[in-house]
Amino acid sequence: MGRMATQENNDDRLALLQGTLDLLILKTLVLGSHHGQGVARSIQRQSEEAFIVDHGSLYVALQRLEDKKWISARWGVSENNRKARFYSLTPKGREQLVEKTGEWRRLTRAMGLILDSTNGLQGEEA
Amino acid sequence: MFKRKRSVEDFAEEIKAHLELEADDWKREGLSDDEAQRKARREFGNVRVAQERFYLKDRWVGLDRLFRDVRLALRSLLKSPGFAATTILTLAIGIGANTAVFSVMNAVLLRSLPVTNPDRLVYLRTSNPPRNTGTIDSNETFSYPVYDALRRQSQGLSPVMAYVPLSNSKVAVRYGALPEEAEGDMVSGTFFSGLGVKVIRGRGFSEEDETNHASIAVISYNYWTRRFERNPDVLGNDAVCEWRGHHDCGNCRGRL
Repeated sequence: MGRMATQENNDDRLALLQGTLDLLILKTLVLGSHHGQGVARSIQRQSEEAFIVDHGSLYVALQRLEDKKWISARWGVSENNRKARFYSLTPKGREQLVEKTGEWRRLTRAMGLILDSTNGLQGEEA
Repeated sequence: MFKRKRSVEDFAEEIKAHLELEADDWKREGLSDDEAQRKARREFGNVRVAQERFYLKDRWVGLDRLFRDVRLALRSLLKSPGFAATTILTLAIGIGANTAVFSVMNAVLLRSLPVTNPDRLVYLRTSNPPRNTGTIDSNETFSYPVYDALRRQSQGLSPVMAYVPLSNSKVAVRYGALPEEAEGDMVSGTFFSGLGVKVIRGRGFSEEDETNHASIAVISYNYWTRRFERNPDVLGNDAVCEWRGHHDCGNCRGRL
């Protein structure tokens, strides 16, 4: 049983859906520049620790966004005097954030419409 | 516009920075130095995988550019069909000629060994042998104990055959009264069975012949034709062949 304990801790945490990480990064950076570790912390905290951010994926995603010129990066020094790479949103990234947020809202609305409907449980229609 | 691509080292540096920042955070929450670093590492997951993904991402970009280059090349070829046709024809003829020549060489030189499994036949050499040993040359000659050990091991090579050239070119042979010269080798008992070569008349050697030092010889088809006019009666007759530098004269009966 002891071995199960660590897994139980994670039971209420969610793995991120494919493609949502980009949006979360953009949203996090809209408030100002962050380093990668800060982005991960911020996403975890704001989701009330529900999201697990895979750090490896995060850095690959940051690089992907940088390649698309949605964010820009430069090396700097963190508040506790550590060298870190800071990311900030570009104008192009800001546009993308608006667009992707709209997309996501439409998606969740549509999912909600289906999942919350009451007549779906009766089975197929006649 | 042509920004230099970010290096793998830079990416690794960033991950290192992340691990330090993360460890700092954990330390602030009361973990010891060691524990904080371990936890940061564990939370990160597989650093190598992340670096590999970063590395591969760049390769995909490279591949994408390659496709674009190929498309451009095809488009420009289509624009000048005459030039394209000439080029393709030249290449086709060149490749075709090479293929034809190679096919012939392959069939004649490489595949022409008349044994059962030509692709499984190997010629053994050794490295760093004692200097100036061996009958062929030091690298290609094995002593009898070595040959025996090779033969006894059952993995890899089976069967192991050996041959000893009797002289650099010719050995003396006497059949009837007239002495003459012929090319000949001493071979191990497994020589014919191992190669899978059929002996058309009489029999090949056996392992018993080897242990008994049997005085028999197998003559080639060419020699049979040249010397005996393909007379089937030579089988079982006595012939003498001798080789210099050996302790005795082999008394060989002609066999085919």
